[in-house]
Amino acid sequence: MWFVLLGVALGALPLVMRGEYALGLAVLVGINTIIVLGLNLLMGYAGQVSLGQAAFVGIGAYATAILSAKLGWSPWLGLAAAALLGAAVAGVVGLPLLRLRGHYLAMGTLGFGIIVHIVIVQWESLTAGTVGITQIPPLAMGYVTFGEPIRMYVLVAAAVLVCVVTASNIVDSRVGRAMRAVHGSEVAASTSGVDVQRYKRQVFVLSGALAGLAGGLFAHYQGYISPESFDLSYSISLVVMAVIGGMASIWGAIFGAAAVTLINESLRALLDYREVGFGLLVVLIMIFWPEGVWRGAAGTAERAWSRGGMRPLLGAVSATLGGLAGFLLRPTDASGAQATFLDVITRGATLGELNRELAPLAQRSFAYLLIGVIVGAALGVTVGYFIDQRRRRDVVGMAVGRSV
Amino acid sequence: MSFASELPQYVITGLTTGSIYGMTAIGFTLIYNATGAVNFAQGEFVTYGALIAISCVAKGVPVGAAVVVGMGGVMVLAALLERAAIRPARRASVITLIIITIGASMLLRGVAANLWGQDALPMPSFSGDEPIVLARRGLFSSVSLAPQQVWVMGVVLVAMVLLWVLGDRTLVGKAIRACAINRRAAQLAGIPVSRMVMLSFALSGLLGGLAGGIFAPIVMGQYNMGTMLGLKGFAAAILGGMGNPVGAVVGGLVLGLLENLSTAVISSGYKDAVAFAVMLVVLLTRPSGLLGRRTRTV
Amino acid sequence: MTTRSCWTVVLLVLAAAVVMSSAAWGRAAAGSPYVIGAIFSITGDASSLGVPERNTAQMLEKQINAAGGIAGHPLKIVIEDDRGTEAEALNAARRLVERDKVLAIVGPSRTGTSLAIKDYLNKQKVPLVSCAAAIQIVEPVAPYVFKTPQSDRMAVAKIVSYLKAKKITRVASISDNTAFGKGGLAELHARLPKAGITLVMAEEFGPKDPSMEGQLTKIRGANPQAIICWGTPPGPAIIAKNMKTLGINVPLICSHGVANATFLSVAGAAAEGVVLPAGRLIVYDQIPASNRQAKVLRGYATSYQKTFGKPADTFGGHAYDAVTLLAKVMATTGPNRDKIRAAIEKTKGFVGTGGIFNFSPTDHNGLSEDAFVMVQIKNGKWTLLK
Repeated sequence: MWFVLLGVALGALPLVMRGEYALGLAVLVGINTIIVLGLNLLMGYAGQVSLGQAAFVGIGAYATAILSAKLGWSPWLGLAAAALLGAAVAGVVGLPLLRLRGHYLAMGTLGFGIIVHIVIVQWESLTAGTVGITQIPPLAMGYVTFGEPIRMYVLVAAAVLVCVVTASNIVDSRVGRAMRAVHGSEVAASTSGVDVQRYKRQVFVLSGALAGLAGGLFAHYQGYISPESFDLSYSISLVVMAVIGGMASIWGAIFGAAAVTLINESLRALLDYREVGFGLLVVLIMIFWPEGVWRGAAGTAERAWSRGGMRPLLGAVSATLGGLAGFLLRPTDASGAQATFLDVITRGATLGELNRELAPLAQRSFAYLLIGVIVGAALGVTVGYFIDQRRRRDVVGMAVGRSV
Repeated sequence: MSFASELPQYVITGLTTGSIYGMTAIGFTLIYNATGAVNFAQGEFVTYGALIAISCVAKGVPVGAAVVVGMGGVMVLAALLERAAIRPARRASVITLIIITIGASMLLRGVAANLWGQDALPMPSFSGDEPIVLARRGLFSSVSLAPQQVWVMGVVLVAMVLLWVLGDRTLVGKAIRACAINRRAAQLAGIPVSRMVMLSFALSGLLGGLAGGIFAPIVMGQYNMGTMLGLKGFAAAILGGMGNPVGAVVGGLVLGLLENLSTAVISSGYKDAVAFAVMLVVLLTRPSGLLGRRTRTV
Repeated sequence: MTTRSCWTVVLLVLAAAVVMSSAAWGRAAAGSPYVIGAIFSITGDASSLGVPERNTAQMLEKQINAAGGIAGHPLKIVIEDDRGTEAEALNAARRLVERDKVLAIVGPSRTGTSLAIKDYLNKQKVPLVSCAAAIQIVEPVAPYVFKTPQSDRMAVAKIVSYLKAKKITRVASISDNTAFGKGGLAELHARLPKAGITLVMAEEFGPKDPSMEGQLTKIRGANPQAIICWGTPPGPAIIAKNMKTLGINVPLICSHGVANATFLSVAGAAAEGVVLPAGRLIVYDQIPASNRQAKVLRGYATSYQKTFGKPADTFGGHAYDAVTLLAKVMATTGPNRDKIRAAIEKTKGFVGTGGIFNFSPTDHNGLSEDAFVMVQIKNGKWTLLK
């Protein structure tokens, strides 16, 4: 049922986010989601860490790029080859690697990822090395070319939907239950007759296929690939996406991919401090909400409710709304053109220069945001307090046997 | 000049580069011994040790004192990291811990880039740059090394011996190892586990800072120097055996040798791939490494 | 599960809407100013290129506007950071074209990022003046894509002339495994044999390697008369030091990648005697006043030093050339992308810091071997070789 909802939401997205830039971002989120879905299954359900997923993405991307740009194959065949090759390599590599566990598996996959990257760089006759492969043809069906972001978005959204449904079916099937057993305890699972190694391999192959597919989509979308896009830091980003969203959760995969991509975009405002901000965010989320932002936030909300009643929740919600209202109500500048806080910062330089150059306008914007948050929070807490009092009176009334 | 005649130089270079890897690897083993976790931010300890020392030297502090200041700084940093990021998550899963240390390394790298900029920074060698020539032309072509490399090798050997003594012969060292084997049992035996973990981080930071200080004249200080060094150091630790400081150094030396010889024999382009391929082979065939003990199943 | 999934979807859409629409509200192109975009690698691995480029662009914006703008219209440069990654560069390009509706784009700083946006901008018909080195950016020629830095081809040609003058016939090369190093190596393979010079050995190194002694030992065994190193600091600095350790005394010729202050400070005494091709900017004070570039060089070098307290470097110079070229062209064409493109293509004799540009429909770089001079490091300073 929720897939229909997802489909509707995906369909409605382009209406809200217009323009090539925003849609291009959505395409990237979609591509990342497909990879993270596979990673989520691998890490969450089968409990295996992979710090080399970018290698499969790269293998898929290069497979389709070489086949379609150099050999003139149809991009669709290239895409299929990308997924198949990703799966095949995962199958071969998984045989020895999946015997490892914990940190050793992490290091093993990391090593694999680095080796693949080096091979891509060095094998120039095949991959053109660091120069990369240009002029990768976009996917096309009949008269429709999936070149523009809006069209590519439709394709990627459809792919995401298909992958989500497939993944969900796998999770709910016998295979999925076996996987969860493996995650719970490999020893227990194997005593129950679950062929642990086989299931681990199957999940690994699936994640390789998904990553390869996503790599192929990426190649046909960007039209140009180089080894730089498939290095260790991308592998790490992918794992961060999976973990932040919450592993063993399909919605977690979507959330994680979207959250990290969007956070990266928003943190552009911090310029030099972007990596600092991102690293800090990752550490904090992992400490407080190791099960992922989604479950973690829900858990915190529940605890806040049971301890403080309506106040904290209402306070938080109205603070957010207040901040949003303040932000939207901020003033325009003299020439009539609107400038957002983000704009002015990205046009500025480092945070230091920012303080010197910052237009009073942007300071005012920030002030409005802050005022909105504070007012909203105060309002929410107060209203929550009164609601709580009301509830307490009712409860007490009931306990006393309520003779009105 | 055939390969054979150049062999001694290849060996010497392999050993000197290998000691750099080994020095980094030792830091990993300490934390692994205490917590069973791998600290992906170890490379950043080296970076900070180097950059702090470089800043001190730039302000006129003599080189030796600068390195010591760097060591102290990183020790504090490591303790802070343990308290702030590792301690709260001590019951978390392997994956969570890995991500936390990865996040920490991102954070540290970003801060370093802001504090010291992104360009490479020089540091003077401890005893000059006049090469030490071990053999002149003759049967073999000349073999030489730089004085700073001798420093690195010497420090690594001393650190290795000290750590081995600590781990094997002292009560503190054994207590630290007990924490990783079974935390609950260690607590029951009266070991203050959280203090041991803090101690291991502090020591690891001390060693990382020292490593940075002595590498900087060779490698130049830069905000991202720790990334690759950390990875190679980890590979070296795995190669030699994760829980064992002697193993870490031996692993480092072997890694350096293999890398250098593969440059000579195969091609320099694939040398990093060789290093990680060797690590993979070890992981798959003998995960406890060359000298490791089987303290935990893999 | 259903509630959660509903919420996920709703929240995602809301969040996306807020972030994106805030980005979509931007500057409405308020008739008067001429807006150009700039994509530089301000953070990330290539920031030593991007930061001077960004500084130069900002400095020029102020200078041009202080002098009355471009034919009376103020110049506005919208600067984006591509963080050295291609996906970011493409994002930034989309933002600039869509949200800011720029007339042209300057940058990016690197080859990979430039190639990533080349097709897009060409399709969108937005002129791009790249600050990246590789020849693939303008070969094959895309109508809307130009670049200001000198190419590897010219650097190698200059080195070949130098080698011939010194009567050197056997060289070895050691290059890094990034796009820059690989590009240089490819050019060396292509040009050296034609000049009758043998490349006895070609080794590689990684930009973060702690030691290149292994490769140099191998090279030592092959007995070259000179070693050519293609990379950017700290690699070549480590190589220079390793050569001293190994007692290799043949001349070390580096690429223009070391034409910056970082190399001097990091290589220290080991840099003594190193020869390299460089743009005239780093030896601007040794260029005779009669040289056509002298005025531009001195002007840029002194104002950069004054504004930022650091010596001007070649990368900033590429941005200088790109922005001043656009400014010059826009003064006659006005805010029309196609006209700007056509005008750049017809520009001849444009004096920049990188050289004197002569564009044509088949040459979108506009430079030749003369854009470089041979420079030697003597006493820790750049010295022009006559």
